[in-house]
Amino acid sequence: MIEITDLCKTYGGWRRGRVEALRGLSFACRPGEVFGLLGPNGAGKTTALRIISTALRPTSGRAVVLGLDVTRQPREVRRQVGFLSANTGLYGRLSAREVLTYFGRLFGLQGPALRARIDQLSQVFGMAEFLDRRCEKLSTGMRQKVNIARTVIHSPPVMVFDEPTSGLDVLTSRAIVRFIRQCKHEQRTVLFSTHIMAEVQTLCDRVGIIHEGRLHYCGTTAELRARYGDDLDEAFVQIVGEAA
Amino acid sequence: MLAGVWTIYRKELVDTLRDRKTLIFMLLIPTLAIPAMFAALEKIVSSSTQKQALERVRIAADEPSRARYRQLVHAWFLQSPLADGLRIATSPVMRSLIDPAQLGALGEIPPEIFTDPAVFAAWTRAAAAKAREGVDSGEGPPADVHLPPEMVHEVVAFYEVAFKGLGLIEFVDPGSLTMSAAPVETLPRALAGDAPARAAASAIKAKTIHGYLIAPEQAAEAARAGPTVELTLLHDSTLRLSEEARRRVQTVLERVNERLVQARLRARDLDRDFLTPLRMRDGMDLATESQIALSYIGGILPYFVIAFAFLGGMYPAIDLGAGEKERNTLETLILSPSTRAEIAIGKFLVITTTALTAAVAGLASIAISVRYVAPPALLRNFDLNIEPATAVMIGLLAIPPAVAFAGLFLAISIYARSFKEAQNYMAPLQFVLILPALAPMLPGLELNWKMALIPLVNVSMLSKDFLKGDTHWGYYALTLFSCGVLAAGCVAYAVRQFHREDVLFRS
Repeated sequence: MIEITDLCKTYGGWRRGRVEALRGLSFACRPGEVFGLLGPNGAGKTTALRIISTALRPTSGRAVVLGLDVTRQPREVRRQVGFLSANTGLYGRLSAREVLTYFGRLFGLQGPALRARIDQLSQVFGMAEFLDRRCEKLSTGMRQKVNIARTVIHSPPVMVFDEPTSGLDVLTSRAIVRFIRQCKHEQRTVLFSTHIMAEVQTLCDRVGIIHEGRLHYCGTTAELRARYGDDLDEAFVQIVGEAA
Repeated sequence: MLAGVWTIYRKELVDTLRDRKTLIFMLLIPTLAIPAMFAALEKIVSSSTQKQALERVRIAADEPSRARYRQLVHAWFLQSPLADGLRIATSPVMRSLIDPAQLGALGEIPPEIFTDPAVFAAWTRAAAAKAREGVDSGEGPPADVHLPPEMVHEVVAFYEVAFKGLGLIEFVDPGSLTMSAAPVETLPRALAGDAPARAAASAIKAKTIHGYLIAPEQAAEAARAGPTVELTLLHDSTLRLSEEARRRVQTVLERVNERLVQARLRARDLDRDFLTPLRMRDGMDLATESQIALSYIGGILPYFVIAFAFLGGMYPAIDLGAGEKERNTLETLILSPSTRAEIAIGKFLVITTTALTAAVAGLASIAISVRYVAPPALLRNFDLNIEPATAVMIGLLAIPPAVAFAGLFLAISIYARSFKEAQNYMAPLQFVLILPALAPMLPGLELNWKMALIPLVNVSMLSKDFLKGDTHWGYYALTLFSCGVLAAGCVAYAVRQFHREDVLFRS
């Protein structure tokens, strides 16, 4: 469960000027649900996701993950969250197995349990063939598989995806979409930001549309279609247009 | 905490060691560049020394001056114990026994060399030419021939006076020199009215000759007691061969003087001590030859310690901080349950390891180069004997700078936006950080309690004392402490940077 209440985030200071990235954002995302966070560039999506995953601290407001406050209990929150974005890098000089071992250890897994988890993930994502190859030698698709495996190495109940398919080819994007669907079936809480309406249509149970740090729509995709028609791109443009 | 640091340390070390750039700077440059540098230096020094030693110089001199100069050298030769040896070698009995080929550069020895200075000069010329062809090194007896020290002195003197001072000088008639249009303005006033001197000056500047010799009439009678006779050698000390000409004639005069003074003293029944009423007693130095040598090296050693630690730490630091930002891997790391302090300390320890390894590898390489690669010409006067304990102490010296650099570099690297920006910050730092390495070269500067608190300066000063065998553990502890405090401050700063969102996510 993710609960965001009146979240505000202001960047910068006297030197570079102040930018209000989030202005009182509130929404909730339940287990077994995929919540899509939509918004144009600079709307505040990445800031919101980074606050939830504890990379950033909110200026005010509250973000709670599985009952844990991201500001007061960041370490505990991190143990419960898996974060993935399209441009998350891998250590090129390490093999896929070494990357997974490293992150497994950082999340407290050790010895046989860690090895068993890596074997399991290798099987699930079909990585056996390249598990011992250095990441710098892997294709984009292979890399993204390793990245997903890294994200879930500690079996997090909450998954945060920040534009995970941005810039990826169709096959790799499909693999990620499949993985998000699987997370939903496993009753994880999935928060997902994207620009691609087709993905929203296939994956999201509910969507929140934000613009300039404020939430302008929050509801199910069915409600969205009922209100604005079947063309979700058009619906998005209309909502953002009304907000501006 | 420890488990987290250890996990990060282990991974970062493996990652760093797989980076070719790091390996080049950490191990390859210190271990291979030093012996290569020493070997190249040796080759350059020895080949240029040998080349210069056997090079022929052209000196203009009129016939009387030439004859007087020849006579001086010949007279010196006749009084040399070597002349007696050569006389025996040229006796009919010995001539039937000795194969001239066995005499090396000396070759065929005409008996007239003892009576005719001109024949003597021609023979030295032929012998020197043979030496130039490589029959003889021209630098004295071969290393495997063991002669008593007085004899070695005589042989060296013979090479200097007969070979280099006469055989390898080609005399030129001043009349053959053509005067250039522009007169040489620096011609000494005493020679201004001398037309051949003016022509010679132009020729020296034009490098067609290397000197102009005037030996006055009295030179031939210098053996007799009388006022000092001055020989003139016009030369240009900024031109290599002209300076070589001056050095050769000067050496001849010194050797001739030595013998003439001895003869004069003998004639008056005086001992050589007559000329030296007082002198310092030799062999009263408490330092061993090895200690003296190490004390010299102690002056330059800190430079290498600091430079290698710098090189060994810089690239891993850039890679572990700014590099991680550039590759978009930092975010995943800070989203793990590790604290920012664990991440910073883990990375700091890896940089310390590489800086330390580079410094120790560099020092070991220097030690090996000095012992096995360094040329006798370069370290001929040093009787180096680095004991294991001294080697360990020198190794300990690398710890404080490695620690200090690791902290400093990590802070800079985390702050920097990109690999390039980090490089831009660190490159000028190199000059600032190398400055403390010069401290031991400043005269009158001794390590004290206050100085032991100045990071890096203390390392430089301490190295000199360590090498002399003057180990002051109190100063070492203070040095480690001060560098440790600097590093701790820098690591704390790096941890703070890890908490700053504008630093972590700026691009």
